[in-house]
Amino acid sequence: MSTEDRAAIENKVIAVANETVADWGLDLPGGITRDTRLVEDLNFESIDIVQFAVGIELAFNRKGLPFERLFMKDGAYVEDVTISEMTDFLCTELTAA
Amino acid sequence: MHTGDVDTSYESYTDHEEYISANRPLVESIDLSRVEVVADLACGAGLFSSLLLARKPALKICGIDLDQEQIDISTRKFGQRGILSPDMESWRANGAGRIVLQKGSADDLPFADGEIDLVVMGNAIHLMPDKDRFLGEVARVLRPGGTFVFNSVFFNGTFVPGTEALFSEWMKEAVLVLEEINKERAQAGQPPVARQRNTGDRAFAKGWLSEDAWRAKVEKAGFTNVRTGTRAKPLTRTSLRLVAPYSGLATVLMSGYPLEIASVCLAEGVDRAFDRLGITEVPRLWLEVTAMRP
Repeated sequence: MSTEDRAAIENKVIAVANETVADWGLDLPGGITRDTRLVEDLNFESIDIVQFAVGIELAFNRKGLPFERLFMKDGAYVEDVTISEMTDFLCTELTAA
Repeated sequence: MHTGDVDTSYESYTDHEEYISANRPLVESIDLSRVEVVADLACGAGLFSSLLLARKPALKICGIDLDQEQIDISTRKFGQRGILSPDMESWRANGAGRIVLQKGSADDLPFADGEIDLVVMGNAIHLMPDKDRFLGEVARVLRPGGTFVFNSVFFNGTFVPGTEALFSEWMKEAVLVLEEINKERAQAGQPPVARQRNTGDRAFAKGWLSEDAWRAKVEKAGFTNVRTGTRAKPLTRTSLRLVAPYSGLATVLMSGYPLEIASVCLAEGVDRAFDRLGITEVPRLWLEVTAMRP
């Protein structure tokens, strides 16, 4: 996947994140970037993660993306996920057959 | 409590044979030969107590739960059987073969030191906010040689590898049901379903422990003869459909949304997820722990 393709995916992820938090009144100096953490920076609760995932699937027109591979490691939930990690996940999954 | 056609109580799930059979082997494995007095913590609708009484009808059981609705359900069930003690005083004086039910926290038990022979807790220990404090309280009320038994289906390792997709798809489908509801509301000139933010826990912060971490924690609390294990039980569409709208689950999984909406979304999401994946059940691991107070 080219650098341009990755950048396009990341921009789309950031757009979905911005849409998700649009009316939350968060104080985000510098806005949402690749380093933004969903839990620590955006205060995501469990249902926010799911709504974000659904927003991603709709934005990329891909149903059934295996987000559990990103959100769980060795049978346990991760502590947090960055925009960049979500982008990496999508770069892998969107190019998979 | 019923919301429209959706039952948001826990009773229908705990009365289901699938749930009972997931718990029965653990209860049947308990040595009751020296047990007379039992504390059933987070007793819910009374499943553990019922299974114990079926094995040894002379047991003297105190069931405790934070939720008044669960206490009411248990009171009705054991009252119909004519084995309900009206209060702790009469239970202490004449409680053999009887059960008393108390609303309260498992963190602060209404027992004297060493008063209890067996403490059981069915599928609730993951909810305890301070697990070390809780284990200390269990150790306090158990007599020397007394036994603590618990299980949980909410621990790190509960998902059999390859089955996680069902739970992801279930939640995503529930959100899509919510979006459909919002579309219908928009067409009717109504605002979208309101959500009150900051009512739930941070994402991923479930406080679950692994089997090894539970063993270490129980041993650290001073228990000995700690035995842990996991048991795979099938989770079918029927049973997930029964538990999905449960208020205690719906308010966590869809925090901030009105219960009646969350329950409908979660229940409908189950059917859609099973249909999408073309499956009828998945295995899920139950953690089982038995320990003794020295």
